Amino acid sequence: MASRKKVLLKVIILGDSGVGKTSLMNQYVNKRFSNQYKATIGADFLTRELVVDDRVVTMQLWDTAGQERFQSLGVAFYRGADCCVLVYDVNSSKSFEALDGWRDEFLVQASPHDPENFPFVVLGNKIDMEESKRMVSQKRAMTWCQAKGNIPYFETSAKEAINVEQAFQTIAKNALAQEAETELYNDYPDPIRIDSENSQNYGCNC
Amino acid sequence: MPFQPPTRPHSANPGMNPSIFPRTVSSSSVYKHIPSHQQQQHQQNSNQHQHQHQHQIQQHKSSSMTSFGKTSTTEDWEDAWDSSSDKEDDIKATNTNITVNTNTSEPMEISKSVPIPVKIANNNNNYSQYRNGNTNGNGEFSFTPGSGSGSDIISGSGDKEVSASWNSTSYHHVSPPSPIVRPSLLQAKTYTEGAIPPAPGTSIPDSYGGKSNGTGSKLPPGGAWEIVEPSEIREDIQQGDLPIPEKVGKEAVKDDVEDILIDPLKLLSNLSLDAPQTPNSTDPSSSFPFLTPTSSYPQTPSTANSASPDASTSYTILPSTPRTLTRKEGLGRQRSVRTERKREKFGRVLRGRDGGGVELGELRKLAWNGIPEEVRGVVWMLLLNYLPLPVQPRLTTLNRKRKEYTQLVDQYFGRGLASLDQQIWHQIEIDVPRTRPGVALWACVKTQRSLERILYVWAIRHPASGYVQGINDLVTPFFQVFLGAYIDTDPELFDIAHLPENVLQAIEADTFWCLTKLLDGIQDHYISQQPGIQRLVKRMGDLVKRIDAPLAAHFEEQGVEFMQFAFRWMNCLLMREISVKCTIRMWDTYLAEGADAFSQFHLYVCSALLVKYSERLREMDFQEMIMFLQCLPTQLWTDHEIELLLSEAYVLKMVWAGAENHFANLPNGNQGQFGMLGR
Repeated sequence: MASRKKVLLKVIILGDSGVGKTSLMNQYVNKRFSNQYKATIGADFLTRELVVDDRVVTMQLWDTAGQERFQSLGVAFYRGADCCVLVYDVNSSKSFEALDGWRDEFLVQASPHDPENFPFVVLGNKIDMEESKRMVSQKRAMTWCQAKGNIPYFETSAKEAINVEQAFQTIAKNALAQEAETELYNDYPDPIRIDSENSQNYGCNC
Repeated sequence: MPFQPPTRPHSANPGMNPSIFPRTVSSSSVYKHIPSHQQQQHQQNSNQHQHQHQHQIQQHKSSSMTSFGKTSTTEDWEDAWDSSSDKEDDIKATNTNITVNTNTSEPMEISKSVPIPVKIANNNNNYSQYRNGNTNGNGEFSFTPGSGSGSDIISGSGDKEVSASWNSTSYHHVSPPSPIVRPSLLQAKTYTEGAIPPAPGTSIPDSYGGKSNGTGSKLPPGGAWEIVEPSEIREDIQQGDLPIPEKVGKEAVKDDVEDILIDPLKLLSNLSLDAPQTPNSTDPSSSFPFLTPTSSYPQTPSTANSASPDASTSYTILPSTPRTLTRKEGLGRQRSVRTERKREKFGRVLRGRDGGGVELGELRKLAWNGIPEEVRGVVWMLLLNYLPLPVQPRLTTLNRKRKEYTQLVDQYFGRGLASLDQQIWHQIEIDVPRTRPGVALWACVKTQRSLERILYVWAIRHPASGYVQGINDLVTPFFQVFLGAYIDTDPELFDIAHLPENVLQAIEADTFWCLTKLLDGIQDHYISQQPGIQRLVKRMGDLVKRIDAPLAAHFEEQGVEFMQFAFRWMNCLLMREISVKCTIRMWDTYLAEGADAFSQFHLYVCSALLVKYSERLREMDFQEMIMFLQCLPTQLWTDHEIELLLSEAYVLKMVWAGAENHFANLPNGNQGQFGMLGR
């Protein structure tokens, strides 16, 4: 059965520069936090195996660069994604307001089959900072997520490993659902290629 | 006793490694240690193959290098600035309350004046603390306090918005100087001994075991002795790792710092043969454990035979300066003679002929094989056409450019941080603390402020690109090399607070202009859509398809796109893959190659790097490949591996440069064929 083969889930992490994408990914995969990460250029790649619904799956995480200039790269990294994680910093409204742009950009460049129902997950990171610095309330974030089709929302701290595991479990789950759906699309037999070199011999040579 | 000059030792006697022989020997104890080294012979042989290959390539190179020769005149030099993207007219000459201090009689004092806290948000203490570093010294770079309406200017969100951006900065704030700066002596030693390096990436010697012997067989004899030898490279590596007490403070600042400031060519005095030797060069056995008899290059029977037993004591290639040495001294002397000869050559070229200035062609030729640390800064400046080649305008130009930069800083920062372009500034603020995190020099507040100014002034003057992540990395080699001219210690360990303020300003200005020169050549790497990088990555894919079809096929099969890893190689010029020390060595060659090396030659370097791992990559699946390519086993590389890579890139360039048509329209059915230099 096709569903029993090795499952690969491709997950893209997007968000403004400095919101903690690299830290989140490393906390999830390597279980450690460092404040010495360099800025991500292009995209970094990590994987982790986990169990979702009694199935062992491999999650391939692409941690992308936050600077807008690198967006032209998107297509090389976004294609074939099963889930997109949008990260912002709860202490920066600018990074929250940028989520709309990141979501649109993703949908344009990844061009999934069913954009309306493509799984996103939103993470509000850096909740370990003192409350007085907080700029985006939970309510504001959840309202946005609901308006975008009930996107699951988590508040996380990569530094203190708060909610990271839970968030990625949900990400994996939704990605798996998406993956199953994608397989439906791909379940047709290989199309017959009429443009291949072989076809030229069939022509009339007179 | 007659000596036998080792003519063309590399290719004629493949078993012989010339580097192990003292230049002049009268002691007959040279081969005493043979038996104890038998077990190392295999390893030695593979090293020899490797070096041999390198020599051949370099020989090849130098024979075609003369085309670089081009005398640059004063006019050329002025033109170079006019054609650059920097508009000098921009600078308001009237705004001169910032000047470069050229007072040579006494170094300026640091931290004399009272720091002026800068605020843009009334209630943000963190912020003013963070800024204090700016305002030390003579106040020449100080930012005037915000007008009080700063928080309004920044954005509609007011104070809170400002504090948010600072939060995110402090989130990434680097920790205080940590000791992880450099590999320990032990690590470096283990690696340079030629044993299997700790990380993967050791396939280099194997991959040269005979595959490339054909390359050099037709080369003309002679010249091979001029080429950088393993022993010399090893010395360079070790020099930075001396177990001498590390000077990190004021004691590291050179005495003649003011002279160097005014004329970087003063550094030439350090090139003289009579210059005091570093402790290591007098006693190799203690500082260079790998050179002691028990672990040094073994002298194999085959080398003994090929050198003829009678002549075993008389390898003299410098008949004019015969010296009588013991074996132990001989190794040290041989190394230092080699190094000194290289330095002498640089000295000769830099002093110019009859006061006629530096001959660019000769300088390039020398620099291609690596520039001695003592004069690297000034050679880079000359190669980049920042410092004029003719003697006459040199000092005035240098002075003028430094002044100009100071004026630029005042022009852009003079009205406070709130008047900056907030989008650019925000990104720079995020990236500066995470530039070389963990390295003492870059953790210094003053260094970080310098970096901010360099990046911002460049970005604001190049609106088509602005600041792009990765450019911050490109600043660091310049800064460290130029700083190195003024101090007697490893720049990365130096606490920059001990540097006179005017010297720091000069370093900053020189770094800015040289960065500008470099980026001028690769501007389309950083403009919207980054077409320069897109094009290079595409060409790299095409080239690899040509030189290593099986690897290219494997990439395709596994669905790995070059963009997924090579983008960073181009965007950061491999600085994320190799150490800064190696980057600096690499840039010696890039700068010698010419203006377009950071795009064109770099393409061949990247391709050579990838192909180096072909065998391993072809055994990996998608996931393993991406992980491997994102974290190459090159972090522990030394200059030696870099030089090998540069040589390989040079060969690729010789074959493929200007032959775009040969791989631009590669037919799909070609994948089974082995390409030129391919597998």
